[in-house]
Amino acid sequence: MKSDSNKLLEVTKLEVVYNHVSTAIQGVSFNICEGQIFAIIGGNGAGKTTTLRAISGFLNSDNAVITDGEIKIRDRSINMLKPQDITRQTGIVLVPERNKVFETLTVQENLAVPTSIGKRAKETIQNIYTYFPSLYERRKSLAGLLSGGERQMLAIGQAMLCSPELLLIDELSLGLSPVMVEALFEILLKIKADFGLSILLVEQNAMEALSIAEYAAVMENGMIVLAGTPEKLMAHEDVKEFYLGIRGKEKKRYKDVKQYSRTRRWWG
Amino acid sequence: MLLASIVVLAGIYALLGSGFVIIYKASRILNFAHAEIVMLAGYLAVSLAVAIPFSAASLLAVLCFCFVLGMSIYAILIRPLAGYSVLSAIILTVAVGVLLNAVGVFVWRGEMEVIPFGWRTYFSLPGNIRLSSIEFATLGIVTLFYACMGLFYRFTKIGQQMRATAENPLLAAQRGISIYRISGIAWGIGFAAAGLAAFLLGINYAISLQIGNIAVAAFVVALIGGLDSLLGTIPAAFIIAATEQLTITYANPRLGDAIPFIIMLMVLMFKPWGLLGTKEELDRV
Ligand SMILES: Nc1ncnc2c1ncn2[C@@H]1O[C@H](COP(=O)(O)OP(=O)(O)OP(=O)(O)O)[C@@H](O)[C@H]1O
Ligand SMILES: [Mg+2]
Repeated sequence: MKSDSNKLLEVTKLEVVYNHVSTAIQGVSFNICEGQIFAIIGGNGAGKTTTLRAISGFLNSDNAVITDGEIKIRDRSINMLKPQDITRQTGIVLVPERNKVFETLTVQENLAVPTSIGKRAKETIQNIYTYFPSLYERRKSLAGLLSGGERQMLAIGQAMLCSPELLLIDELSLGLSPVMVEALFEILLKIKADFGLSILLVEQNAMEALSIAEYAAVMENGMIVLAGTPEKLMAHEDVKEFYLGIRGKEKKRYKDVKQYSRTRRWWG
Repeated sequence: MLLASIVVLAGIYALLGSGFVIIYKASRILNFAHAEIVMLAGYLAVSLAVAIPFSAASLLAVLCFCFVLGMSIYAILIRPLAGYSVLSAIILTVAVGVLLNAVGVFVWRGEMEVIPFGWRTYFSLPGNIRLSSIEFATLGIVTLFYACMGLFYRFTKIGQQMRATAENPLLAAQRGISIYRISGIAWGIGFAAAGLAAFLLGINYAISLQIGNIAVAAFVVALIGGLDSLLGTIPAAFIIAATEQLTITYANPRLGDAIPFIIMLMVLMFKPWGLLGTKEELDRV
């Protein structure tokens, strides 16, 4: 891991509570360095989406509040900022899990919405199309008619037009074929290199995520239970077993897995 | 004659409904002050028409006034309620309506007035249709309005951002759109549409305190067409205007006022989201 001097995002002891009663995440802390790809993996309901929404200011619409902890970007606390200010002032841009594009607008309009008018804006949109040629072919069709993969491309393209420094991507692989996931990750790496971005990826698809991340954390029940380099995580017995599907000698059937008492070795 | 009167009435109904729809689309708020805005704008147009002999100039002044009024009401009263129940904002619009009604009574004493429209000739169209210059101007203005709105939504940056905000305000905010500014502009345009409708009512019929009864058609047209569909106001307005005029002419004139509501009940029974509305809008209403 790089030194602390180029720390971009710093999340400390974050706690988020839905509807005043249900705690979705608790004591979540991690740092993201500039130019890094950071992945959070974890099962359904682990609190990954909640973490991303807290960072991007998306929470309050869902009756959720940050009850503890702090989110800092470049040493500036952003807990209290509104979503529109977060995008404009901090360069944190979210590609959400659902409803990630404007379905009643065309592809072209979706890309035009975040930009200002003028020749420069046209050029930046054109530049985005070079990463996603298939979007260019469909630029006149409504985003609501796009396939899942194209929609994901459009969402990433739209996010790129908000001049992000830190791109938050919630479940890039959701509902996509393995080939498409691979292609998207490849494009993402290219974009990252060209724009000098940092990326926070949230993924169920642990294998893919760990293969492109430089640092990763495992989340369960609203807590980060394990963190480290992908190599370290991939070597971890429980990560292998629960997230990568690589099991030991005795092959378990699904029924057994469900009943298997999940002694978390890292909890001691 | 009947056809001409149906078309003219439909045009005005459509315009009345459109102001309601534009505001609902952008902010999900049912503006129950709409009928009173129409009345107030109508009276203002009457006074201005006396002061300024030029119809176009007085119309422009009314539109500007309505636009600013809409933006102000949104900025001062509605916007601070963002994040709270939409219901409180809706009830607030009812209060605004009552207030504006009082202003109308106080300033104009609720007299019946006609907006003078200098130019009066008749045009004969093929098929034995005669249109007065007023009717002709009315249809021209309505058509122009819809064309402008279509171009606005489709091609201008603010129009695109308005559609984006209407569909997904959260994502819109995240993409750097000033959603409150956009909603404010939508309120301005919605009020201006009300002002335009008032002007047309004033030159075709008359402005009075009872104009509210006609302006209620705005709600009906919006509901039948689909609360979030500007295009839906056109067929809705035609259906209502035609049935109303036909009932008045061939059946009982006293039934006329009830017709819009009867049609509304029938349409909503089969298509609760309106003719061209979005289906999922339903759970939000
Ligand atoms: N709008 C909401 N209201 C109440 N509780 C919620 C809401 N959204 C999420 N939760 C709860 O918060 C917890 C974390 O959910 P979250 O969506 O962050 O999980 P996730 O890791 O993203 O899961 P998935 O992989 O299925 O997307 C869950 O227990 C969930 O039930
Ligand atoms: Mg999620």
